[in-house]
Amino acid sequence: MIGVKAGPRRGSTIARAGLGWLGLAILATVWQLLGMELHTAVFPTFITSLVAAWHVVTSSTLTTDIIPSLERTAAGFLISAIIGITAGMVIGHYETVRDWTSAVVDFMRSLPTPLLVPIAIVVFGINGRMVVVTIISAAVWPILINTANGTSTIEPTMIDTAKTYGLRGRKLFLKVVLPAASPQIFAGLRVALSVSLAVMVVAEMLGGGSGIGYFIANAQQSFNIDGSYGGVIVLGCLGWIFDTLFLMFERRLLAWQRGTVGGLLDV
Amino acid sequence: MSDSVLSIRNLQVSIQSRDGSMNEITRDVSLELKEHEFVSIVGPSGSGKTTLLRAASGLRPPSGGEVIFDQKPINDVPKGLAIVFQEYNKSLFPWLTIGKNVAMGAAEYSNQERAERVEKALIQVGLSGFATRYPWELSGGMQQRAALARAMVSNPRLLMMDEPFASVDALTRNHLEDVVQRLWDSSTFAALMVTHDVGEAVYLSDRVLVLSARPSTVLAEIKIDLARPRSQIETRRTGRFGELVAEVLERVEEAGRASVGIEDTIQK
Amino acid sequence: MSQVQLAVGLSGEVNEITQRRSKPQRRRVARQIGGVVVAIAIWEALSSTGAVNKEALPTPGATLAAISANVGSLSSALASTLEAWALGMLAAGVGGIVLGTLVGRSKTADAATETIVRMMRPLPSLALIPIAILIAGLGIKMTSGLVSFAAFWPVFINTRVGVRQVDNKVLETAKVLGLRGFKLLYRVVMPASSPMIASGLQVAISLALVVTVSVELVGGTGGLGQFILLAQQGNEPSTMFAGIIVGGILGWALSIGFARLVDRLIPWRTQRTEGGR
Repeated sequence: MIGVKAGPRRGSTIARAGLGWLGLAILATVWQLLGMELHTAVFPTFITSLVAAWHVVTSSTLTTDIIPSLERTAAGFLISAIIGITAGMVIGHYETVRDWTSAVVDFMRSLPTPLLVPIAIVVFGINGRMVVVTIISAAVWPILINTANGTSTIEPTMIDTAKTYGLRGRKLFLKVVLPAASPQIFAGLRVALSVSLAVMVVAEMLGGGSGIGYFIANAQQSFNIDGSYGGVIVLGCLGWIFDTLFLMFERRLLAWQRGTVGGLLDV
Repeated sequence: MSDSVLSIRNLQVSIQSRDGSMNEITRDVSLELKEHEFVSIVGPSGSGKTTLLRAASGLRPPSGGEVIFDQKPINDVPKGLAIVFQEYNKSLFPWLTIGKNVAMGAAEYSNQERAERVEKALIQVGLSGFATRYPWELSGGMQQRAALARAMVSNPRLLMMDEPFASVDALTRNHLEDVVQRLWDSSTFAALMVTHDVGEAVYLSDRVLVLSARPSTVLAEIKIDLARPRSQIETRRTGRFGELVAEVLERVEEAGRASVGIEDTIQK
Repeated sequence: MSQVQLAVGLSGEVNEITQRRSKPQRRRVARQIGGVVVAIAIWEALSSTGAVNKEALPTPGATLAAISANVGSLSSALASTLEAWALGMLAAGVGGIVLGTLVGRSKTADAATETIVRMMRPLPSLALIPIAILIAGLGIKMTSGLVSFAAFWPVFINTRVGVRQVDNKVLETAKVLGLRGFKLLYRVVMPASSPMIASGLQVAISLALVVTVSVELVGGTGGLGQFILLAQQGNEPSTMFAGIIVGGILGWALSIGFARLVDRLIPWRTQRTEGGR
């Protein structure tokens, strides 16, 4: 078939993955040896931290801290996605709206969001709602900006074609603008996902009352240093799982895109 | 004028440029397109051929004059009019399979009839069996054939083509020209094609209109009295073909020279 | 794709002649200013009518007054935030570009770092704040260290991808022209991957600022973060807002400044044919 890009050979893919895990293993070994060599309370070994992480997910911390954190992140991320995609398509499609909002959007997205946590605590108190609001205030911008970019750079020919076949108004947005902008929207969503996790942690450290961020900070303050490391490992794994699930979802939805760009970047 | 499919009367198009001033692209273009007639519009680059086609199809409102399709003035892309754009890679939706892309042209039919029409259209352009492929899996020429199938699937009364073969190599272009000719021969639609390739215009058309440089008017109309059906080798071998090409080319050259003069004065 | 396109209003049309775009440009700026005015008016309306608790949302006027009343402490807080940010950013920028180039040029190193990157990228480095405090104590060394750790990843990842993606035809042409080794890297690979590196740096700049103020908030290590925290503890909402606005202006200035710099240094980055007919 003409134009089909041959994927990498299966053998080399496996070799690549193997090398990747080898790299990770080397890093873990260095950590382990360093921890044993230094032998200090503030830098536990890799295995000690791993055991602590296991304790975190098998103890009551799971229901008191981890699950609330996951719920807050999910809520904040989903609300950001709905607001960001809708507003982004409107801003991207209408140049006038873009002009009116761009300065304010630029300012808001450059604002280092953690600065809003103290004020959010004053308004909402120390609870999960405050965390969700803080997540939204940070995660909505990458989605909005990427959606607007994707929408405003759609090929005019594509819009012409859609009009030729009678697509107008909401149908035009749903059937053409949304899929055409979807690669960019997904890039924004992926950034927003890691932003959500990061902001969740810092908001919980400052005043979540519970959650994994609260747990990590609290463990450090109560000299449960292993627990603090364990919390970080759990969080890292959660981030990795989220990211992997997200990529799988994206691959499925954007399967059509495989041949149109020079191979999806896996990083 | 009951046998007129499309009638463009004193069409004028101006586009607002970035600095707010109006830029006259098309000054005064009129043309009548009869049932099952094949007309091409050629002109020097920058003569606003694409703009003309967009206004004639209802994709953009004209600044003056009117366009009558099937006895009704148009203000939007009417039913029964299909368009094939130059950039097949931008007009085929990359997230839809070839079959679904083609089916877009037949949205008003029932599911079963749509499937039959899609199948038939794909056979007509020689793409049967490719319905489940994505556009990127096909070569440029095949993608443009898919775009043609999408245009044909609704049995249009009028097919407009904007430089339909400009993005493919010369041999593929010959092949695509014959695909279009075969479709036109075996059907009843009228065709209006915009192109910068004089040989292609002469080979396919009943009439060729030469556009002047911007702001454009119709500079000349040349009747193509070549026998049909035409063939790439036999038709192009005839002396008459060469004469007609030369005649059109001469007019285009005149228009081009005039445009260079105009651009010079604009720059000064 | 790790590349984020930032700045809606900045990209594109650089290849247009200034004279031709002057009028719409002026109209665009007028609209942007109008947008800011509308936003401030909404803010004023929300706070002065009491629609939002006055304790939480002071009026723009009160915020402005708080900024001028705290010029001294605000500017020293700003200086301290900027210092920690700049140190961390410098280390992250240099480290990320150098390591990213080395890894991107070697297939083995590239594969070996793949999983580490996949693990580290989504790890919120903000979670490391308590651990960083444990190891390095409270101080600029800790702040900058954590900032550079966080900002390293986007620079490293984008450099790696950018270097890996340099067109083979470009490389072959360069080899035909006799460019080898360091010269090839410096004259061809770096310029070709610079747009990608620039977007990595752009992400890193914002991220570094977020980490800086987060450390300041959590650790109370001075700077804008601690300024706002103290205002919160003193129950002075207008002072808190003064800090937030100054932080926003700082973030905005840093990213606009970098975008301008990129436009100047890599003019071909924003080249894009706008859909004009």
